Amino acid sequence: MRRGLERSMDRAAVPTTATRGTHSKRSIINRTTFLMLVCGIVMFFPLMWKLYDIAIVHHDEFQKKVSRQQTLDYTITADRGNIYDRNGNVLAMSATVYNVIFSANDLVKSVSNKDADGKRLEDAVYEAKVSARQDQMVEELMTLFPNLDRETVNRQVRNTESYYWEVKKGIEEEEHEVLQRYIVEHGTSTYLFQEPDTKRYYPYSGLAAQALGFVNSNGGAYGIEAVYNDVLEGTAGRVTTTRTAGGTERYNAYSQYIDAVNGYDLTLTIDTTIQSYLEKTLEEGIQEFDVREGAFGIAMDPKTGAILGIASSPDFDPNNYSLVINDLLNSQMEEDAAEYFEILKANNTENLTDSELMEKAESQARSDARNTQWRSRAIDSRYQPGSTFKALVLAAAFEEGLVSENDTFYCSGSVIVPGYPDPIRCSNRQGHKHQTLAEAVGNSCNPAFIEIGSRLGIDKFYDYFLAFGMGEKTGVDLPGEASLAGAIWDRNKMSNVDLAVASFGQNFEVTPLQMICGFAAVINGGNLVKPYVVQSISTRDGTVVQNTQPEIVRQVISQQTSQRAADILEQVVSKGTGKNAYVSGYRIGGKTGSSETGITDRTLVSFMGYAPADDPQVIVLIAYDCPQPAEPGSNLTANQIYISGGNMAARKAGPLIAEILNYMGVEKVYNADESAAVDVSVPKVTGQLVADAESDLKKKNLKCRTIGTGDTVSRQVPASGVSIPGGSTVILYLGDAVPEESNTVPDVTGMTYENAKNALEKAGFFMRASGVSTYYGNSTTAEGQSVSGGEIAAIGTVINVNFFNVVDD
Amino acid sequence: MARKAKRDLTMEEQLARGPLDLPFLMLVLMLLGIGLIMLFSASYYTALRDSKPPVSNNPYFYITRQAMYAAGGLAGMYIISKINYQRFRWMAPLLLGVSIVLLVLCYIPGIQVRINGVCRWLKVFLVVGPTFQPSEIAKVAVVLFFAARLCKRDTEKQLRFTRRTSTGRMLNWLEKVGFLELVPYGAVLLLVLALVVFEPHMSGTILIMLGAASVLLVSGISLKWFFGSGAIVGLALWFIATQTPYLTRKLNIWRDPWGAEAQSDGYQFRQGIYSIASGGLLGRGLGQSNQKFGFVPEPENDMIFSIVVEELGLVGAFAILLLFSLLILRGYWLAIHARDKFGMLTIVGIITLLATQVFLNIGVITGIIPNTGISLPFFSYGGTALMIQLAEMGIVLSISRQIPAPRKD
Repeated sequence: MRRGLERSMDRAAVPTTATRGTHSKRSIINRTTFLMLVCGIVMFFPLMWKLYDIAIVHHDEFQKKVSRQQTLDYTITADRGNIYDRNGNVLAMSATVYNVIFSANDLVKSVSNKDADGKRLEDAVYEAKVSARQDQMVEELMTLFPNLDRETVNRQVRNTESYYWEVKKGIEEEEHEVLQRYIVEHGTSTYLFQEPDTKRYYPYSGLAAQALGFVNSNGGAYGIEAVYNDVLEGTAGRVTTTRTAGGTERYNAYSQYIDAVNGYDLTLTIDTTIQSYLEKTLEEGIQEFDVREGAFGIAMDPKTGAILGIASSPDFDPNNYSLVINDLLNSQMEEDAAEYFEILKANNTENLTDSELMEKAESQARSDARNTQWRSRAIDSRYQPGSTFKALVLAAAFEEGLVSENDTFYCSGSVIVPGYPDPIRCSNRQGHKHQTLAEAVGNSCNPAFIEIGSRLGIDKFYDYFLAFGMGEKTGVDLPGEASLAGAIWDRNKMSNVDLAVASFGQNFEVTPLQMICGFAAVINGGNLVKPYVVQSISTRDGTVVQNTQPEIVRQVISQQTSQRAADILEQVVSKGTGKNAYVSGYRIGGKTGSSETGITDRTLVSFMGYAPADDPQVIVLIAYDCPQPAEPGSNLTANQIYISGGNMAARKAGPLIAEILNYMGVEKVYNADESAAVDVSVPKVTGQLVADAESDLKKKNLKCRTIGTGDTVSRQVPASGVSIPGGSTVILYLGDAVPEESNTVPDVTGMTYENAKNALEKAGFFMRASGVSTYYGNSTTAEGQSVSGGEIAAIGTVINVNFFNVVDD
Repeated sequence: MARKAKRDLTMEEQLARGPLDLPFLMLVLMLLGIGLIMLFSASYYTALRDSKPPVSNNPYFYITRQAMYAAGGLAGMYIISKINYQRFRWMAPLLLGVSIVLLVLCYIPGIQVRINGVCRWLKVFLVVGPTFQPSEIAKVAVVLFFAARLCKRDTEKQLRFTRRTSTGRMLNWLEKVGFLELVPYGAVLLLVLALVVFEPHMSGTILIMLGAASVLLVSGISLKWFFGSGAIVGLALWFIATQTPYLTRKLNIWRDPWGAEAQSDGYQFRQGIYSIASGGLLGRGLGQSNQKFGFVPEPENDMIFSIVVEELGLVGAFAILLLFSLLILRGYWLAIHARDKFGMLTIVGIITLLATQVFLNIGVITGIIPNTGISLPFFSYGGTALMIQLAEMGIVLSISRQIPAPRKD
């Protein structure tokens, strides 16, 4: 080939004698040796130097980066403990849920930029392909989660910068499995996947919401969830190990596993049933009395301090704690937002548009409303206890021997206290005139208590004031006990006027919880107890780690004094301002209170009651803040209820206490007067002589009247076996007299007990009275009947008539 | 073929039955053994994670294949070492012709195996069978062809042209400076290089070029041609590097592998560096690499040495480099002592190819030179490449058989 090529160039090429090579062996050996040195030795120096440089010199620097990428370090969340009520009902529990995550960026990556032959696509083609996939993804997501906003989905799917969009939070097990199957089938795990999360459930939703609190991303935020956060949350475990580039864990000798320790369970002293009674009572009262500023209530075991129920209104649902559900609060929020808007608009330095300002105002108002509903007023707010405090003053005076049951007091309607320009008025402007100690307490007479207070004197008063725990926090295991700074006077600055006013519970502030503990000390034998809500802390398998023992802070008064005070307080309910709380069969003691709040037309009405009086099982405080007067300055609500503790709080507290006692299994014990009105079964008297029938009925505590003529009873109304209240008059038909089938029920509302009873019996009905003690006065009137006046009812029907006392307190 | 009695053998045949060079063989076997062990360690996880056929999550996939090829390669090496290498003289042009045909086939759609737009591969039986790179064969072919021709240049007569024409005078001058002698080599080399470079296959081009250059150098071609062509190649490389965005980018990444531009493309390099660095002096221990768990992409291929350093440490890496060094030194030693110039040039070519490959591979992973994509002999996964490598070693061993035993004085 070469020859041919050369020949074509020049035909005259001829080989010469000289050779092309030199035959020089030396040069060849030299060159080979050169290559040998270069390739066999020299070449390795830069490689070795560089390897040394990387592996030894820069070892630490790179090692740091490398361990960052190779180390898998994650925490294993511990299960948060459950919260149970005293009967083991679950109040709060945690469950595993899943969050659905979408990565728009990884969706793009999942679209191959090569065609079937592995050839790179043109940019425009590739973009179109990605866009089509995104459209498809939007459809897929909308099918999976039809409730999503299409516009948001569209935006998020195309937000290719994003790796993390929470499509849906808190998916539960069933839906999770369905979705997981979808993810596996469609191979979407690189861009659509699920992450486990825990969710707190409150099966009773709003029940005891403020006491329980709730959990946000930082752990327990309010209530027991916050106070006992450390106990509940447990200790997170941790895994440190090497990982693969794909992020999966590698098991090797370097791995370090620390197990998670699950949180402890709490068992509360709160009883869901009592709690629900309490909350129901608060809500009913709010409706009935048109209460504007909320309400609160506490039910406690007076001997141990175990809180059976604690409630505040407005409340919320801890399952969705940010949502404002209370209607009043919602309308308040709107008003507030408008107000904030005006303020913001006036100081609009940033030149925001109206809609931006409104947004700001609304969020401010919403945050206010949320804070309001999360508050547990029974603990974190202070109030002037008003007349309920008189019980403590009474107990102090008894203990010091400064008053006795035989003392009498005179009330002219007002009293002049030296140092105060105006006379201090009693609630009864006309005055209670002469009254015994029991009557004075029953009347909640302010001048009488000013007198008792002055007998105590500032020092003694102050001593007892502190002894009853009014000057210190209760130490309850709930968060947010209100600070007492400025709530009371300094001992050395307390004046006579302060003393006088304090004697009936005004001009100083305590928390409701302090008040109920102080009151409990009066009636439980004299011991100030430390209230608590957590009965025990236990592990998941039920081993009790810690059990709360009732703690007595101190004995304030003697057992006897307590007994004496309790006797008088029982009369408040049976005869005095608390009589609307009377429930026959249960010996309820208590004290009403109407507290000034310093704001016009805003009265806080309260009732502190306990039962049974001889052996208190439960003490209840309920209060309504600001029943709306019908018109400014009026003492009556729109539905003509006199605004006072006795007319409102006591009226709601009585049935509540009865319900609680009934639930607790405390049997009704009737006194003589009460048993007279207890239902009896009508005996069979037909066929008997009138006289025999009369004596039979009398044995059953029933009266009778006859209709028709004859000697023997031919018919009777009601028939034998029917239960009617004792003392009712049975109608006996003699001879041929036939009872009428039915009759018109008379309207008895507004009538006194006797009148109502007579009117009904005359018409052939029987009355079962409720709502008052047997000490009926002229102020006791019927306010409702189970069958309205004017309706037709069968003869012999027992009609429930609800009585109500208008009391001055 | 019945084995002839020794007395019947010609001198040639007797020489061809000489003992093969044991040190060289031992070094090859040691490197191959270590290479297989390291390949298993490096490829285990990648294979386990690869769900696509033919791997199908079989962690032993790579090592089984490589071991099979190694066994085949060793057998091939032995057979080749038994061939009287003088026969390669006439085989060389044939082999070159075949390899050129194969390189051309790489451009023919339907036969070529195209991966990521690159057509470096053919199937062993053109339509079926495992893939191989014809450029691997071309490397040996060029070396053998050059060696076979250049060994005769001491007896090749210079040409004389007529002095009457200016062309003739020109040609006479060119012959005198040695240019005409180079024309056929240059033509063959340019043809092969052109075929390889447009596959495109940069590293193959460099290797063939350097292999051919080493043979030319040792054969006694005047150094000025090397300086001259070296300058031209350098200039061309600089031109290509600065004018093609693809290479410019590659160079930038090499210059600053930690910079922003290299974020995605420098990933492999950075992970390799991490591997080397975490090895430290003594390494994590055999099989203990963390980086092979998906951090270093394709750790069984070009990056395998970084895993070696991570597991065996600097000490282990140096030991392996020492083995390579000894193999190369022994190779050149065999070249110097070869029976004839053909054997010498062949060994120089083959050993230089090996040395270049080692240097380029480790140079790339340590960042001394820009990424060229060259596998590490005996270590990197690649069955056919390993077989060809072992066949080359077989050629060297075959030549070593004919080295006359040193006179015992």
